[in-house]
Amino acid sequence: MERFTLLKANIRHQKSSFFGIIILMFFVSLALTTVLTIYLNSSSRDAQALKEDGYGYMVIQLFNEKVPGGDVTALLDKIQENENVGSIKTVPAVYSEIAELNGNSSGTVILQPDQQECFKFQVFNEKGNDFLKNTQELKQGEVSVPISFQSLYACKIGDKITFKTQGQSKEYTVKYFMEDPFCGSSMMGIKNVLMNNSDLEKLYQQAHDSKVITQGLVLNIFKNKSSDLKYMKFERSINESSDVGGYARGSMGIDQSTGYMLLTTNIFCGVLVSFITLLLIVAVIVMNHSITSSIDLEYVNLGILKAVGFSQGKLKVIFLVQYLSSALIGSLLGIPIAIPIIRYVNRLTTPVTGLLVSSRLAILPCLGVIFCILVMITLFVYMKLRKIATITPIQAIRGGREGIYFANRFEVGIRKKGMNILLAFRQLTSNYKQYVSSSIITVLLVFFLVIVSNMGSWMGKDGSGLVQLFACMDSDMEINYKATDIQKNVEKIIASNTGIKSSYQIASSYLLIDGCKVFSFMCSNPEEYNTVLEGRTCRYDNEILITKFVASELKLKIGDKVTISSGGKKGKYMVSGLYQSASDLGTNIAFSKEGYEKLVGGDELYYNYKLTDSTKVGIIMDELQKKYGDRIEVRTPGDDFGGIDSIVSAINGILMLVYFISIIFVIIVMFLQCGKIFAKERQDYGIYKALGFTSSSLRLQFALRFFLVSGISGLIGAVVSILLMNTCMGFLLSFMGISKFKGSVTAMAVLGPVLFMALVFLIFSYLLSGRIKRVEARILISE
Amino acid sequence: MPAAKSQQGLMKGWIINMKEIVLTTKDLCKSFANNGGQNHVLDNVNIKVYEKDFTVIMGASGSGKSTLLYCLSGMDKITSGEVSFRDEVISNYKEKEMAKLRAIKFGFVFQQMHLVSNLTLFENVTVTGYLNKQRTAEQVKKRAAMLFETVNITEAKDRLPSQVSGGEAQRAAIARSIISEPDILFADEPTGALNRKNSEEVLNLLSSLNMDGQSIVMVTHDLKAAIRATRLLYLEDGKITGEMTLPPYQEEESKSREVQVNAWLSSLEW
Repeated sequence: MERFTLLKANIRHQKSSFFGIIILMFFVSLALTTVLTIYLNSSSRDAQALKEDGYGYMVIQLFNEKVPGGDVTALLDKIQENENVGSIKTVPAVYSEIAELNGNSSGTVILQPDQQECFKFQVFNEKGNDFLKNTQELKQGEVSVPISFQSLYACKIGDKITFKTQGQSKEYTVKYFMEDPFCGSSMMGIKNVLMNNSDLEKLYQQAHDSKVITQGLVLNIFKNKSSDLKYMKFERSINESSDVGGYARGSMGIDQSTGYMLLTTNIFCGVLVSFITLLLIVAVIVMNHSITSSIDLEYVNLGILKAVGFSQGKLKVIFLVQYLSSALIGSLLGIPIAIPIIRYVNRLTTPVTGLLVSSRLAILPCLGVIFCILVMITLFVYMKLRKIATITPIQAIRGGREGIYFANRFEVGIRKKGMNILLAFRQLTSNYKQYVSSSIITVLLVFFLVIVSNMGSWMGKDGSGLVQLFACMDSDMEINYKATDIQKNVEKIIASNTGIKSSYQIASSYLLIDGCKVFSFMCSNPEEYNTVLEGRTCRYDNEILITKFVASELKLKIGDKVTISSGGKKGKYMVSGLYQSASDLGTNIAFSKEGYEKLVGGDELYYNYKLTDSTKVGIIMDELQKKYGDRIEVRTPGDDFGGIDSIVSAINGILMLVYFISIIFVIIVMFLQCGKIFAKERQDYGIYKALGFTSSSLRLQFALRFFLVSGISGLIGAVVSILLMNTCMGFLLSFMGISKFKGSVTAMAVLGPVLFMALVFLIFSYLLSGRIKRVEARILISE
Repeated sequence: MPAAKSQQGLMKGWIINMKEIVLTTKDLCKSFANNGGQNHVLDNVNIKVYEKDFTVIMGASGSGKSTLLYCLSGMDKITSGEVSFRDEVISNYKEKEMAKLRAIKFGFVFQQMHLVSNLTLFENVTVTGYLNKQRTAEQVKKRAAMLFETVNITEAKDRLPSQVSGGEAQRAAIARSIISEPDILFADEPTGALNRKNSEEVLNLLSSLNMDGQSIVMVTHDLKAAIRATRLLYLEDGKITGEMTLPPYQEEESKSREVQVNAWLSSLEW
């Protein structure tokens, strides 16, 4: 009972501390529950949907015309004979591109029949927050598209879409949005589209021109239950036994596709988990400060309690229960409040991920993580409470410890000019320990803010920074000349607007490296590969560049020789260097033109142009399109990345969220800290008022202290952030296949957060210092 | 003897009446809330404080003498009545006006010194002086240095309050209280926390300041401090019940002054 009485009294006396910790832990728990639920539910939804929709272990997109003799059946038999293959399902398909959808004309599609035995895609309702129970068969002229078309092309039900075909294009109406768990994400460059069976049949018959529209087959391969091969070995085994990789547009395992599908989710969850960890550290720092200050302020009372018979164990338990209960209450409150936020985030991200992710709380994992956090907090608080053992009753009788100031080497003399700021600095330096927690919190928050701000700056409003990660060459414009005699005139038009810094041919396709499908770049001037990390570029026709991911997967190093094949052709190549590109999550290689053409011939080539003035790209593109129409295809590197806008918006959203939560945390920290400082310095304020200082000048001094602390700490946080920027960004981007990041830092992205934090501290400390007005000189009366 | 004394008192009273009045109170009342009731500490107090006087307020413990001092100096709000400084009512001043008055016109010496603990003794004095906008920084520093010489703590000027003795701290507090040459110096039991030797030094300092024309209002229960007064007021049950005037203090007369004051206090049943 005595413990309960003391506990109640403590909580009553330290209300601000108690509620401050509740609020901090509430935000930590809320954010953690949201991120963990979304992460787990996204993964489980993709796995579940792949199973429900009938996906096997591997999907191959076959070009019929590349199969030797057109004998697809024989090829399928060869694959089936492989002991690792369980069964194969196939569906006829037409490979094409979007010709027109809401002003957009890019994006590769695999047109499949609506009524088929291979895949069964779920269809979204109108709101996009559930599936339709009963769907009607697509009529002629209707298509079903992945829901990511909403974010990629601002597509709505009823919009008209045309695909590139032989002769006149036909318009189709978007009837449904569907969930495609294999390649339905906005981050993936190819999409499945369902159409009426007879519509597809007509297109299938027309599909002879492989440059525009191609007949094909989608192979859905199931692994033999007795096979324990991992995907790369499985793929190699199939390619070795059937050479199917040489005839395919692409192939991918379901694990790989899951990586792509959840790429955006994983990156953003990663960023947010880092922030949540930071918030948790801040909460622990605040708790540390609160415990230390409480013990200092309650020194005499604790001594008296010991004098009347309380053991240090009993006192520790009371404090422990006090802090743990506030952490527990905050943590538990955050969990249910996360539900509407999860729903909202899922609603926003469905058109990006392409998945209908459940909003049901992942309650057990969340409780598990929170439990671990609470255990850690308990241990921490218990360690801090060891101080109670040092308090003796005799010290209490003698009036507790006096606050004694000692001379500090950082002291600056007090002058009339700037007296307020000098007094604030003196107050800071003579008792700096009480500002340590504010400092650390500011360092951490500014560190994070600077990184996220620079991420936004580096990415750019149009996501060009991110696009650059996928390319391994500098490019402003890519042109495909459909007519042979126009190139010189086109280049004259370009030159009339701005200078051409460099121009070279490029191409890309999927090739097999030691039996595994990888994305391959070709550049007619290999010196243009500007992301070489080790070794040198592939100058000769028997050399290639590989990424660190390919090197690690296939256990290759510079100087090793590999066999690369495509469409029945093979060649031995030496690894001349390691480079990086985020294409296919880092699984890609690069050739010189001579090396590439040994395997791939007759491929569509693009001309890459790097301009003196990149801002002229838009004008040049318009001019060329007007003059040459269909005889030319002009695009920018970003055109292939429809999901970029959503990523840029998401980064900006995270930035706003981080700023907002930083303000909340600063307010709570200030509230707790100012209360403690004020209690300690109350008499000083009485003295100053007795001397003639006004409340406003004392409040200004008070606020200036925190301005100085946060300004200096913010600069430290900014410096640390600049030093670790490339490392942190590199770690984050490693999910995308980037092994080394080198970004630049902008002044605004660095100074902005520093100034922001300093101003937040200044404003809130000034507001919280209002109680100085209530201090009267009469507190000095000692009658 | 009493008649002679009262004649002297009358004469001195007449002389006092010629001096300028610096501070007056009119029906000054001060009450505190006390367990649902009211504790009337000061009850319609009417006093005048004269320029260049060393006015000492005495009374039994809990009589309200410190409360009266704080009401006179504007450190505490009064419940009713008026306090006027040079014919201007200051008891209804707003915080900013009061702060200005405290910075320039009033000086205060506390029993517990109340120096700002993280400023050196010299900074404690100069910071107060800087509040006076009519003085430049150089003038303030120069005066502070001079005051430190006067109060004999020049060697300790760069030390923190925790690094000096009680006497040195109180002398620094006195220097602080007169840095802006205030019209009145208020002192609340300035020797209460000091030993005999330091008390003597502080009292000598205050007497010396008064000899130089500084008006002082002091609260004390110490007879040795009280004899420094040129005018004594006795506070009992919230009212002034006795008044005595004395000539300016001279050390050789301290014994006889003690006897005089003691007799006066005895008559008031102190």
